[in-house]
Amino acid sequence: MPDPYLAIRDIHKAFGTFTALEPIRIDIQKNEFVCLLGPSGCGKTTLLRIIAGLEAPDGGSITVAGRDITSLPPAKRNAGMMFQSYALFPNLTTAQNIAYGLKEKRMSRAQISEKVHEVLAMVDLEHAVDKYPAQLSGGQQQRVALARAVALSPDFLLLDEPLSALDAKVRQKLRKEVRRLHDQLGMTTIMVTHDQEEALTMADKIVVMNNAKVIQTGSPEEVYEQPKTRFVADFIGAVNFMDNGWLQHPEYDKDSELGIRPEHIRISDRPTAYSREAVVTDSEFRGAFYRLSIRLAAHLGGEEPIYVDVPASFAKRLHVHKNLKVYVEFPENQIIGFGTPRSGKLSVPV
Amino acid sequence: MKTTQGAHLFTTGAGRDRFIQRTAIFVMIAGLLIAVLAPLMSLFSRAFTDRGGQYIGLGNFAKYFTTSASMQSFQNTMFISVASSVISVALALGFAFTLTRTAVRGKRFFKSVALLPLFAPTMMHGIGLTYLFGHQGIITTGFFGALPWEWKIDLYGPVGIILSEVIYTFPQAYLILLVALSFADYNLYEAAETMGAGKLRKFLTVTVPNIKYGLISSLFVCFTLSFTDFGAPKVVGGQYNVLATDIYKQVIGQQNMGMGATVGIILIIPAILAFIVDRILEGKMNSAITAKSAPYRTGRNRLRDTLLFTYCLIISGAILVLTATVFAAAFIKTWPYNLTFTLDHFDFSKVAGEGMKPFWTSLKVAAWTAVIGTAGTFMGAYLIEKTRHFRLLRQAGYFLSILPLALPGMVIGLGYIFFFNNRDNPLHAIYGTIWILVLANMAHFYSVSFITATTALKKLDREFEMASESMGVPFYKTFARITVPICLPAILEMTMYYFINSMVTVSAVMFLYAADLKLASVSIVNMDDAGDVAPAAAMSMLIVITNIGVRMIYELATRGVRKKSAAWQNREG
Repeated sequence: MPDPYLAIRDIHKAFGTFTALEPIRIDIQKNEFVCLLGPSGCGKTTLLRIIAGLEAPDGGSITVAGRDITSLPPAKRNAGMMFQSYALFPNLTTAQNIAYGLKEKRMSRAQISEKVHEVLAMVDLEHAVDKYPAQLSGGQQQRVALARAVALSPDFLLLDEPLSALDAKVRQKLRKEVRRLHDQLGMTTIMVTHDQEEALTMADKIVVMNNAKVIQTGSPEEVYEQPKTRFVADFIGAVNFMDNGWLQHPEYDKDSELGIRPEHIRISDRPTAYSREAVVTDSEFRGAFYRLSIRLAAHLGGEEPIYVDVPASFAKRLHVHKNLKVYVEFPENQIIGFGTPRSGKLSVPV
Repeated sequence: MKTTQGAHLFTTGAGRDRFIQRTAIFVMIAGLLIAVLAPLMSLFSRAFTDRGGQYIGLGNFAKYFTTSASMQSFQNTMFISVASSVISVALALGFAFTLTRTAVRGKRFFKSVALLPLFAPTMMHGIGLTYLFGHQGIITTGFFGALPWEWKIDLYGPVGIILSEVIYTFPQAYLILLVALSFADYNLYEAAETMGAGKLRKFLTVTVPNIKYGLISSLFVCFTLSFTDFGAPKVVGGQYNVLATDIYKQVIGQQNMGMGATVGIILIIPAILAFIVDRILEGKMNSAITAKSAPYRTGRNRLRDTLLFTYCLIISGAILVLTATVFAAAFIKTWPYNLTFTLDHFDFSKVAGEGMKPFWTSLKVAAWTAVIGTAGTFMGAYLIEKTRHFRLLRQAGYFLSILPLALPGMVIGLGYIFFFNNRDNPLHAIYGTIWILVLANMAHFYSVSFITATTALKKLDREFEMASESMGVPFYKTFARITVPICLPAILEMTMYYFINSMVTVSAVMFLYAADLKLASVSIVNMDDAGDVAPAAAMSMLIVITNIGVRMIYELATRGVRKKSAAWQNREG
């Protein structure tokens, strides 16, 4: 592995008696799009603000291309930051907002104006150059904030929940836009989000955090397909937890807890070699697929239901209805093992 | 590592920002210590000394509470304060209710008239009452004998004081209740209605609990104002002594500073209570309204509107008649014998007023207070609200900024004598100049302006400062280019508040003016004392007209600002 471009080493932080960050270690490569993903209060925003220089860590170091920036003020780090609230100045026009930081850089008027138009063209907002933030839609404000953050030609871009204030449709569109801008400018981007779908679709690398710690780092596929802990499996996507006592996966202990994602369970209306008999107790239409709740015949009345995702067309072919007898199979290669002792009961996030 | 980091920061932009902010916070706290805390401490220490400055422990307090005359003053003060605040809040409640919850016409007119007493020194209400209900008053004499009946009330004493205090405190109670009543959740009324609650039940179970805090707060404010007011008891109090006039007699009359300080401390007690209650209520006030609340909708009710319209008309009429009477008295030759028009009373050179000079001095003091006070207060509020370092220092600053809310003007005035009129104090030099008057006014009116500024600043996104920091823009540039322009309406409001209050106040400055630097409000007291009531009325009119003029300039200026900022302010619309 090459030397990391941005290396976070043992950065930790406490606010009084509250530990915001346990010693954190993350490597980020140049041009990488990294998402810090976790529930609220997990320390991801604190970490981002420490990287930006807005918060001082209690200890540890941050280096960029071998240069220690731990004690540098924000302005000397050459990072572009976009805030959750966008923090657009309401009394300045789009152009003035973008030029705000440029004016500190001893640039001529013409250079500033050129730069403003350049970044506005990137986010396709040239027509909004003289508008005030209040005259722009939420999505447009977000793009102005993004343009302002990249106007200073930063080495890396820091995004704090950049899409959380937008409605679903706009959010989808802007995900692509942010990612396109990242690719186009060849920047290194670190984005904080609590939205797992956002992280999965946008990131090259996801850093999953919980309770002030990094739980797992990996590509979206890795964290989805091979979650290291129960928490990661649960937080990203839906998962059924079950114990190996009856699943009897040969690679795991009898009493270890295993997981399987609802879409990986095979379902059929007739028995197969390894299938088990079950009954549909509920079905939920989700558009492209149905999420079925089933109960294994062997466990009737006992365990929590198991969730199974079935493509809509297939569900229709099966004529899915309550109390339908079905046969389910748990493919061995799709079983997720955590190597942790079983604890708690079955849980499936929506 | 900490030290190297600090040294490193110092050479960079952020280090410079931090250095400036730290220095500014220190300056602010030093200023507040000098202007507020030190004088207060001097007053406290003085209360435990006798005339000669000897320490006598609680001797003054013991003496005060065993002297029957002073106990009488205390009881008198309690009586007029309770009576004034109850009457004032009751009247203001009806008035504010009409303006927020009914469909009467002329709301704008009523709103302006209700605020009129704010523009006048409290002595003016007393003078107005004298002309209406005094021995030669219009009403007492049945319109100078033109009417077949007379209506004599015993004005000089508790009745006069209570009437004056009610007029004085009415706008304050009205403003608090107006705010309390304008936040209502209509959903609650609809819910009550669907459950079959009648009008009275709705009022008692929804409206009253909703404005409970406003009611308590307004009662305390009115009580404190009446408890500490000097102007009205001075003019219409007669032989009826209250604490404020006692202090005046002790300090100015008998030069008994220790006793003056003792009474001053007694004067603070209700203000401290009000302060504590206000702080407790502060946190509870806003919690009732959520994003889901629906605004109040006024239903149709002819009878209610007619009754309340008449009510507001009577109240407004009373305020206007009182003001008009003083206005008329200022232009009438000899009340009530020679009712011809004259401008003689505006020549203050022959009477105890000593010419126009006090008026010009007042203008000068008010203008300086407005300018320096606004700048200092806004920057102080900014440092406390928007900087991120030195949390403990900022908390101390906040406490010191809120503290003057609990200090009556007389206490500030006395504290200033004790602290500044001391040859060992290097700041002694400002004693006897207009600057001590400016400083006293700033301290006296600091808290309300501070709260105005803080409220405005709280509305600004916390991330503005961080955004500019991350772009490498120094904080003071963002302060000048973003914070100040956005807060301009609040800044203008603070300026006006400082100016108007500096024009009308007597309590603090009464102890502090130098012989050649008399203020207009003080000259009113002196002229009235000397029996030159008509010139006192004339001077009152000058103050009122000046203040209304300033208020109009403020309205024009804010309209200008609003127009300019209409482009980016969508909240207004």
